[in-house]
Amino acid sequence: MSGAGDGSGRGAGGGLARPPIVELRGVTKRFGAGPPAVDSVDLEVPRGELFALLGPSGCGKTTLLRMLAGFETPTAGEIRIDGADVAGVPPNRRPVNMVFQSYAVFPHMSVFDNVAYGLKVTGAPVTERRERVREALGLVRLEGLEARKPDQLSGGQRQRVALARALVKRPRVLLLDEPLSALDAKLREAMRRELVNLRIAVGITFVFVTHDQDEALSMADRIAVMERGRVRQVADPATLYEYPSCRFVADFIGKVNLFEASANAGRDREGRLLLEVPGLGALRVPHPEPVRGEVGVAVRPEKIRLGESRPGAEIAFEATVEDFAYYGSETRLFLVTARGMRLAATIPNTARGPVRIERGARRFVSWAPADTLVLAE
Amino acid sequence: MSAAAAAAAGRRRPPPGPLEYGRRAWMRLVLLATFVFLYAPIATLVAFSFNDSRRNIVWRGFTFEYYEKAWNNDALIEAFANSLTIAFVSTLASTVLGTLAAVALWRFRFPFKGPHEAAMALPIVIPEICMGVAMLAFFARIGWPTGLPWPLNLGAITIAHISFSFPFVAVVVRARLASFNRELDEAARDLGASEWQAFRDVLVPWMLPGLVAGALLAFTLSLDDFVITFFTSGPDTVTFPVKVYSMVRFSVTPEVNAASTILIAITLLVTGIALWLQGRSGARQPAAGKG
Repeated sequence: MSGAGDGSGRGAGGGLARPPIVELRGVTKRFGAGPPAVDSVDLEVPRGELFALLGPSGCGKTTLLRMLAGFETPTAGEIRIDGADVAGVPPNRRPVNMVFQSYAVFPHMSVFDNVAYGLKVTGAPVTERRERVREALGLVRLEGLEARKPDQLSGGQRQRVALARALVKRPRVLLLDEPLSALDAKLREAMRRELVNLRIAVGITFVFVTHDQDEALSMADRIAVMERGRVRQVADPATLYEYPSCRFVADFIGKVNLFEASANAGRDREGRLLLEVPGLGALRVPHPEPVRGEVGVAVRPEKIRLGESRPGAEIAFEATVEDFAYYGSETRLFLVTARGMRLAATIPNTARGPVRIERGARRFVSWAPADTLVLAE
Repeated sequence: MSAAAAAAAGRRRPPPGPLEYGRRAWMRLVLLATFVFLYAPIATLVAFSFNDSRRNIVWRGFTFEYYEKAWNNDALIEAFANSLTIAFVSTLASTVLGTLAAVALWRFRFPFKGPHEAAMALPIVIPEICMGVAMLAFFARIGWPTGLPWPLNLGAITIAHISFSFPFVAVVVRARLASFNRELDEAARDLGASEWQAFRDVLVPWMLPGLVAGALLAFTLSLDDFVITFFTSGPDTVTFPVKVYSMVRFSVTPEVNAASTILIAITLLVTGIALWLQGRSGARQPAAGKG
């Protein structure tokens, strides 16, 4: 469509000379009394990115999206879209379009009329309308269904209508509110890839809201994790997963073993941080950033290895298998150390065969010191 | 032998399932009784409109005589014209008013919304006789002009009819609006529609079944209202129900039956047209998608 080359691969970021397509400065939204729904958010979304707003329900991500669309007015702060302040600009005059959670396909209009609606109300000539609708329906692979009514479509097809209806307007930014939550699991997986490919094809910036971390990790170029109205971390998926900035992000993205520890013992001669974890003992961890006081220490379950004998240089403990659960591709183990600390470990089932683990078995649990997350916040 | 037995067993129908009420004898009986109770009086009325007798007691043969008589009864025809005029105007006005009230109550938050809503529904529960007296007192108090030329002389009755029928429209439309997905309205706005365009293109089509149902309700309420009309009508503004009442005071002639039958026919016709219009508007839209 309008995609003139400014969006290609992951994190390309578009031209550095041009301002980011979406800029938020200190955006706050209050609904009546109580804590604000969105609390002084600063964000920049570069051109051509697939950007995710991720967080648990009630974290303010949908309110943020609705402020971009113009359905909510910020209590304070500034929103710029393509360099222009959009304060006071009603939704019908903003260069953004939205795909709603319910898809909001007009039930009394055919597929064609739905997609053509945004062109019709702004007075585009009939021939141009027909051409652009044909193009948009081609993008979402709905050719031939122009005359269908929404009640004759499947959920996935309705979503494509909603996508085509928004894309036909050639928005500067496409906003998607929980785009895949209403689809069944198999279709959802396929639609993830399709949305990513669609974004590359049209070159438009996509901002989508989701509470599903898998969705955000597998689709987005960058993710903003939100908690109680605040943005906790903005990063690409791998950074977010491997280097979370705080306990909340570590816990929300993926699974994690999280312990409270004290970092008051300083460093050893090799510069490694000395951590005292109640229930585990002393750990030596490479962590160049200065920290002191109470910290969170975390390790991802798939970084943990299990062995029959004590390994060498790694962090290692003896533990008992309390329980395990078989997931086909992996087995999850729930372990308890001699000092009563609980740990979860994930073992990939790389070879065929029965699960060779039993309750009550004793194993050595270990992980590389570099895989230890130290969370100051 | 065994084949014949199997065939006989096949012919015997299985016992009725738990939800197959239509196949239970007692259920059919209840159904029949209901229909008799509801429609026997109307059927009798229609049948006796063709009775060749001055009295409505015994059947003496078929005739159209009383239809002719009713047709030539100028006072009856005038009352009929009055009723239709009032019904038409009050349906139009109460549909618009009722719809606006429903949309306002559904869409906006404002002070005293609850009391406002309750006050609007009051005409539905107030006894008709009270409303009739109130209307009479009101029009007398403000000195509503009488003796105006037709159709202006129907103003008082029309206003009374609008005031008791628009809450019914509002209730029906409000119920329809309750199931409206507000994201549809937002989607229209997002795609570039002004508030008015979104209202016209998305909300009105959604309300349409409610609008049609509400309008039909208003039309029927107005057409057959007696009590309130009786209090607001003057000697030169007689409506059909009031006229029939005055005719019945002397005797129930087949002429009254004939006039009532025509009224029933008109009501059925209007309902039929409304249903047909709804069906057509539903069937037409997919074809329009091609152009």
